[in-house]
Amino acid sequence: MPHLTVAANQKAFTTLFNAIRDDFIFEDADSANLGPLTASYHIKFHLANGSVDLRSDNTVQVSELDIKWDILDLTLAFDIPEQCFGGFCIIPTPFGCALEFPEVCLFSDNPDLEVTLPLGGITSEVSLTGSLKPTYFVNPDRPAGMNDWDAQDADPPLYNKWQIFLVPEFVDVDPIDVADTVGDLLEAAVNTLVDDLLSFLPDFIKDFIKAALGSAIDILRLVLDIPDDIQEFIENLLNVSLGLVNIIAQAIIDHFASDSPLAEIEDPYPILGEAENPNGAPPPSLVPVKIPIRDLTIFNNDVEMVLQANVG
Amino acid sequence: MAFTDHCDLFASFQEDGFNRIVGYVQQQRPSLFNYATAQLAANPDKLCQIIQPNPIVGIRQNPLVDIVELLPIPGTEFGADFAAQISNVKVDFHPANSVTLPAELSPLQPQRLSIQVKLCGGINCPPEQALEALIPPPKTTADPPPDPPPPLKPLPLGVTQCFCLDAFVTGGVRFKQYSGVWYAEPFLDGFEIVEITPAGLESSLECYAKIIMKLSVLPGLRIALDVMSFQLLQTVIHVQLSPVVGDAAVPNNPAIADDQLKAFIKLEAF
Repeated sequence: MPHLTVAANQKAFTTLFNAIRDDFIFEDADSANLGPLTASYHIKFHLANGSVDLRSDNTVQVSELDIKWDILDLTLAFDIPEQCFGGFCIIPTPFGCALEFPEVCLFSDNPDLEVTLPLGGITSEVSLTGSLKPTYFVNPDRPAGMNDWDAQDADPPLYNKWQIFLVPEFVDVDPIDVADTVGDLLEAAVNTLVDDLLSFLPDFIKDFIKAALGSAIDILRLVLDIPDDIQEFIENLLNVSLGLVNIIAQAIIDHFASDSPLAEIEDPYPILGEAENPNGAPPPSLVPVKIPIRDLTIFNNDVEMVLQANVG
Repeated sequence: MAFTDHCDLFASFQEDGFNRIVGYVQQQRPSLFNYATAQLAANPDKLCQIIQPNPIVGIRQNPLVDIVELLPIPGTEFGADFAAQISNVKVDFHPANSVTLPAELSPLQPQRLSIQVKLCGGINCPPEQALEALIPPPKTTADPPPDPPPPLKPLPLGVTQCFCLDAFVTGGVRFKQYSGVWYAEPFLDGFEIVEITPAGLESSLECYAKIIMKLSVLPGLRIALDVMSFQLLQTVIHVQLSPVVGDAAVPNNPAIADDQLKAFIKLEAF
């Protein structure tokens, strides 16, 4: 029979889980070159809600965990092929051209258009199934020969410890669904760009060029061969091309499996804290009484999590 | 049946593990088990039992003994050095199977634990020659006694006349709240020293030892509830732990049964 047994029911376990859930904040930024388009992202999200279920097969299932997007900025930088218009004579005369349509070249820069779409404020969902695993953490910063009491007193503490992790074995991140207004945002950005580029021209020339270019969607389709549905294009960009679904999954796995233990138990464990020196100072206090924790195991059933260990 | 059928958190200490914990307490906090006057504390070789502390006790200059006042010698300014030490502590949770209680305490009642200890004590006897030198001359005047009386002076150290006895304790563990914090604290309800005559001496020693146990040793063995829960919830700031009380399904909390000490705890997260 193990020397020590501690059990936590579903409510207590959920309290533990909620603490490490609330401790999770992930922020990242990166970019990908996709031919004429360079897509960059800056994301920051935290987790909320979710239901925790201890299962009889020694696993823990967390369902409908919300990914709250604090920042989901997608920056699109387009290199649109240069388009030239005009450069011909409207009214030729024997003495030369009386009225020339000036040559106007658009989209000569690289990138021609850079627009940041603030897509945050939305909620995605993730579910995971994992199992509880104890690991023994040997503090790498602890000098050889340092005793357990000095390790406890160090700032930061340098003691070794048992850690209990919920190690996800299956993580299912729902694809990011962006708001259906994203197409409007992108179209407006392209229209503004074209207007800016043509701003120095007379209105009739501007109208002529815009008629030749078509709508903003036409321009983007021309460049990127994107579908009519801008929303679908953006979602595919986020979820597949930029791989945010995988990045989210890996961040969550790292958080639960190695960064944020459900519980930590200092080893040796201070079973009695410091106490006043009965003979007065010095020293003013007695060292804590510490017991070595050995053979720590952990499992769960559908009712509770059970931790067992021996006193070394 | 699950451990947490009637609580949110359950913790149990098995008897063998508990005895190991007591052993660590003895090694790391010897002053909880050893009492002596200052002179004897400074000369641990003159104590009745050799103390074998954990090295950290020496490194951190923690005391080996709790220093107590000299035993007054009436009519003099002197006091006798003495020591009282507790060792070989062995705890047995109900049912009794590792400590054989004397008839006066047997059988061990349900929900109780027994403790067997070795009690050693002794008064240091000064060398005869030194004692002779301290015999006061006749008083020529009748001076009033000083107020307040001066501290007692120790006598020169000689040999500590030691004796050791087996003592048995029966008691339990209860939850009690101090300053809003719940503690599991041991309590004592039976104490017996065996093989002492006359009976009055036995009773006197038992009374004295019981006072030491109740007022000094056992309070030092309280374990705060949040510690007992193994800091399982250390990452959760807004949580309050309290024992399950008034639940018919948990008639004893903490419970002592099956060679274990079991605690049933409620959790309030807010």
